[in-house]
Amino acid sequence: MKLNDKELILKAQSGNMEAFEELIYRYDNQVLNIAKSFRNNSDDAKDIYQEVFIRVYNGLKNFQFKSEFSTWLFRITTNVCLTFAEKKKRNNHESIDDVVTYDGEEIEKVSDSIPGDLTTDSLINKTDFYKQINKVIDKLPVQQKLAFTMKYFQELKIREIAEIMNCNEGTVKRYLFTAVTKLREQLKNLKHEV
Amino acid sequence: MKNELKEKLFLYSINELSEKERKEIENLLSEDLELKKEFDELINLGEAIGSNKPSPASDDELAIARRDLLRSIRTQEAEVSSFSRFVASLKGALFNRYGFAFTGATTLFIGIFVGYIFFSQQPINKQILTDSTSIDINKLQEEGDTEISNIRVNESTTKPDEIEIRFDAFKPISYKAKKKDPFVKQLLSEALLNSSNPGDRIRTVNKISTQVQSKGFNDDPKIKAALLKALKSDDNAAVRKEALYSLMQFPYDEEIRDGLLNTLSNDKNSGLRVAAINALADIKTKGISLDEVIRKTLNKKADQDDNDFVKIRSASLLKEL
Repeated sequence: MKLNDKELILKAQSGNMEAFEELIYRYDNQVLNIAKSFRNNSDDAKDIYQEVFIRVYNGLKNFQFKSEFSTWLFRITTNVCLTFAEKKKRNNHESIDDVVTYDGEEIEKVSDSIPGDLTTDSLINKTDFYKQINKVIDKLPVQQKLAFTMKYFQELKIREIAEIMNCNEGTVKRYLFTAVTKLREQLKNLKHEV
Repeated sequence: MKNELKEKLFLYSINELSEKERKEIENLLSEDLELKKEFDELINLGEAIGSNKPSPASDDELAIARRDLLRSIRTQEAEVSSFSRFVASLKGALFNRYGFAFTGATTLFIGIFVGYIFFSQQPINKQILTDSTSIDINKLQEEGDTEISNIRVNESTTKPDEIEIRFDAFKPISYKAKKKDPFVKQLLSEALLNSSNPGDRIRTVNKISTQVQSKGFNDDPKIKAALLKALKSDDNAAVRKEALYSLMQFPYDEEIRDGLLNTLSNDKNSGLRVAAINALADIKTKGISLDEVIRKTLNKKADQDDNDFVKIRSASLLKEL
């Protein structure tokens, strides 16, 4: 008989490793995908995955069922993603040199980063276009990026994102609208022929 | 276009509006071409982003991530377990029945060890001094801010004209010098009067006895005073007796006479009283006349003493006089 989350958690809290593993296997695919869509890098995603579940393992004994386990887990996931991104940013001179951090601030124009022989008119290759989309997404402020990737790549509802990010829905809407507006501005010079 | 309307249009494009709001936007879209164009762009962008979605984690990626995670957890657990085992064994050792005794003993041991570390003196080296003029007992006391104590004569000196005396001042000192060295005599006097060990006092007085025949030793006032004091007041009869014999090596004078008469009159040890009478007899044989003070004491002893031999010996000496 399949145990529910609460039963598995209680068992895991009493030291049952099998219960803990089963609990992981219910959600770890989502955690890995959130991490992967946020970082767009398998190695980074694996590091985030590790950190998330180590935190869960260490913190599970103090879990008091005040929220759903999944909510708690995804909150940890978003926190780890944000911390990871900040850490990467500090350690990566290239990203420090980049302009964008928060709303209202100017970001580096994608068109500026396009190689000289590749004009906007000749940019008809779909792969190149997607590369530029990824580049813009990558330069979004981390909160916006996280909300954006959860919405567009994980297809979560705004309500769910707000719960995971522990903020209200209005904030998530603002994150998304700002992110999309920036994206459109950056891509408007590129001709997209799908 | 108003920003508020743009935001609503965007939310409409991602299907995040309520039913009522959606109908409002749909009405506007059917009437406003510019809004319709904006909406189409949003839809195109959404589709472009959606089609650029990173590929979901493969089964292999997930399996590797799981394997690495479980390995990390086991490693962490092993580290925690080692520590927990150590803590548990420590608790077991300290808080069971025998543990309390063990704890007490350990605490006592640690206390003694810490006390030793805190209160023990610095490592000290034995110092051998050979220059008699370089050391003065008073100066030594001032410098070391300590009293000279535990004076012992080393019997096994290699050279016959040398003497080695060990004592504690600011640190243990072994003082080796000629026998006539003034500091040697001073140390011997100190040892005779202040050593708490009767054996040390006897060895000291013996050493003095062997030296007093030599010039420079039997005229030393400190040695003589020390011997007289020992004769009068040392607790140990053997020390008093040796002191008496040593004094006999000194030139006879009133101080020595008084010392002998004090022993004859007051010493509780009859052997010493007899020794004092014999000493007086020896003095007489050396041609020194015994004065009236001696006669009176002998008379007294001839009449009255606990020991018959002392009475007889006193009487016979009186007859000789």
